[in-house]
Amino acid sequence: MNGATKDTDRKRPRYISDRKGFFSAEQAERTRKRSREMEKKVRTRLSSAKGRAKALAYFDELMRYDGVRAVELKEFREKGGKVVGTLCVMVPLELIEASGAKHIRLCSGYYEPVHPANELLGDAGLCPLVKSTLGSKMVSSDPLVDMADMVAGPATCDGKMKLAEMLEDWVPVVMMNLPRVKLGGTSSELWLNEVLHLKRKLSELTGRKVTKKALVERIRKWNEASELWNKVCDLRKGKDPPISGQDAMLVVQASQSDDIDRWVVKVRELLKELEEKVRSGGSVAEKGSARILLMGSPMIYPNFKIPSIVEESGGSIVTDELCTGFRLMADPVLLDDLSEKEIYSALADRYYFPCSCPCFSPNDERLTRLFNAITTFGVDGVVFHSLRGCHLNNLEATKIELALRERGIPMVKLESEYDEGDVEQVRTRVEAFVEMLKARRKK
Amino acid sequence: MISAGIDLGSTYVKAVILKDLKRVGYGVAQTGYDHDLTSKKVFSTALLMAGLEEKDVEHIVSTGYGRRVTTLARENISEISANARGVQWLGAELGVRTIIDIGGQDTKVIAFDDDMKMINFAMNDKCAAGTGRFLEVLARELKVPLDEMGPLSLKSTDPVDITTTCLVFAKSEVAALIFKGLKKEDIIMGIHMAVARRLASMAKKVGVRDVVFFDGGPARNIGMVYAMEKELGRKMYVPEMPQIVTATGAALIAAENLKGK
Ligand code: SF4
Ligand code: SF4
Repeated sequence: MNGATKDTDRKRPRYISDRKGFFSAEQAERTRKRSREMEKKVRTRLSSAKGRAKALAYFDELMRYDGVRAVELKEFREKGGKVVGTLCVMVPLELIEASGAKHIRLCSGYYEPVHPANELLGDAGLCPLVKSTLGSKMVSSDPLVDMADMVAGPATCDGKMKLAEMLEDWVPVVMMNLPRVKLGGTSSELWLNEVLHLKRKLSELTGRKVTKKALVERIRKWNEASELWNKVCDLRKGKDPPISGQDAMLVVQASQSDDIDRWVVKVRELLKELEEKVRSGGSVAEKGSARILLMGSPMIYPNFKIPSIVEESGGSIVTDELCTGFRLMADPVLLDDLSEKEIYSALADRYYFPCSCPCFSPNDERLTRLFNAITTFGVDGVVFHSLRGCHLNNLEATKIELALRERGIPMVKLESEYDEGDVEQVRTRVEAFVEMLKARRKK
Repeated sequence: MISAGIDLGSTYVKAVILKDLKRVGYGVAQTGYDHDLTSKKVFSTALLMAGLEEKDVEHIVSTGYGRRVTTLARENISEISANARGVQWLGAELGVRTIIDIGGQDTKVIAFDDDMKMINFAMNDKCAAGTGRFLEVLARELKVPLDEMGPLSLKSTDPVDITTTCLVFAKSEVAALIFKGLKKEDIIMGIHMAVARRLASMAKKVGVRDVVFFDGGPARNIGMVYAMEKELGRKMYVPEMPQIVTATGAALIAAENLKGK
């Protein structure tokens, strides 16, 4: 069976032998301090935006560094509760909840923890997201990440796969063998088995059986959440989007670490406020701004560098094709048969087939979804961003640019790192791109 | 109607004054330490040539890398839009579809659709490869004045192959070639070919269609033009003063925005 099973008990670390001595207290403190400062800067910028919905304040508090969630989870764990950290977007969160555990997304958007990871690995050509996630764990710089009792990581890109392996030096990991060749029957069968494997590991962790009743109940809750999320996004189809692209990402990313029942309540409040805004003609975008679709590598809060530049340069992000945005909650689990087998395969399918992550091939789903979004959201142009070292997105950019060019849709490709050094270069391109889109509109 | 455009590039600052949509004055100077001061100097040179005074100029638009630094302009635009606007005007009769604009520290390739509207662009500003800086540094290494690089390179009969596009490595490669006693013209032609390869690969990503317009300061170098034509297999159209196309575009935009108000 799965090799990770017995390995989760192993004591000897593979990548770092002296976990305590590798970093000085000074280094750890610096990483924490800079992470805190970075997040604060981003939060202040987001929350001071003109015409921003008041209901968003909840999500600011939830996502902030050292925020309420870490405190809540700490208490939960003190009472014996278990927390599962997830990587990427294919781990069924319904299942984690049905086992009695809580979930947090580990993928990190903090810049500073990249440095400790570099010290261990050298440059290694890895993307900064992977390095930052590893670094956070190494120096214990993110209180939320430290809450994880177990990690569930699908083998997506090379970086994520080895990241999961490296994290095992600190915490037990369940690797999920994601079938990257997406063919239909054989692939979904394999994936279903991986989901069932996760279910067993979860039961071992929490000491609770996952009952059918609990799972169906959790699936229904998440379907409700997905429906709400789609409603929020629908409001961005109109001429006056009531929520910025950055805030929308903040909201959907919160779902990955929040208590989903509470998230649903809060998003319902938000939706009401946004609908009111639309009725009264309020818009968060400047008049005449260019309608942008954002896609490419993940952008995890607080790494909102690219979307903030876009929205500061006269662009309005009306939708995205990102694993850290719309895609996260776009699709519900289609439950039409309540036999145990059908429930699990419906759940596994939801996290597999609609996912347009570039680690899959064929991945024509991504193009289909992209063109669909371009039409329904009235998109003027596409901003494709690739993190340095993100080979999969870098590669797919070529294919996507060609497909867009054939349809006469402009695309700009940007590359970025986890630091502020490239902001001005990116800004020049984005400004030129937005100017170009506006000039094309004037006929 | 009198308008002006100021292009604050990384190596040169350029200014253009338009009177009733005719170029009546321009100025060019090396970007000093104080960009604002340089922009004012260049602007007054252009005013002098035009026989105008500062108060006669109704609207100024700045562009380029230092566009937010100058205190002269009340409006600014990216150098990509400004360059495209300049070419739409200067190259209207040519029917330009592709622009290769080679600057001191960055190079842009712009694609036009059939209505000469910008549809795509690429920009290289992360390293010196494929920029004027590459030529400048290597010219110094060879002790050849920049202006003589072009004519000299055309005498080459056996161009050397410069294998690297990284400026740091190219410097030592060129030093080794000089040491070996190879002819200057052959080395220079090799340098031009290396830059051309880099520009061509960038252009292909954007999509190259005839007519190709070649501008920016280094486009004055006839050896560079020759190398580009060879590498792309297409004719390059170089305007009369390729270094002030972007400033001209900014001046045009200033005129249009004045009319719009
Ligand atoms: S694009 Fe795919 S592999 Fe990359 S972070 Fe997102 S889900 Fe993971
Ligand atoms: S898909 Fe790209 S951004 Fe995501 S973890 Fe892999 S390399 Fe990093």
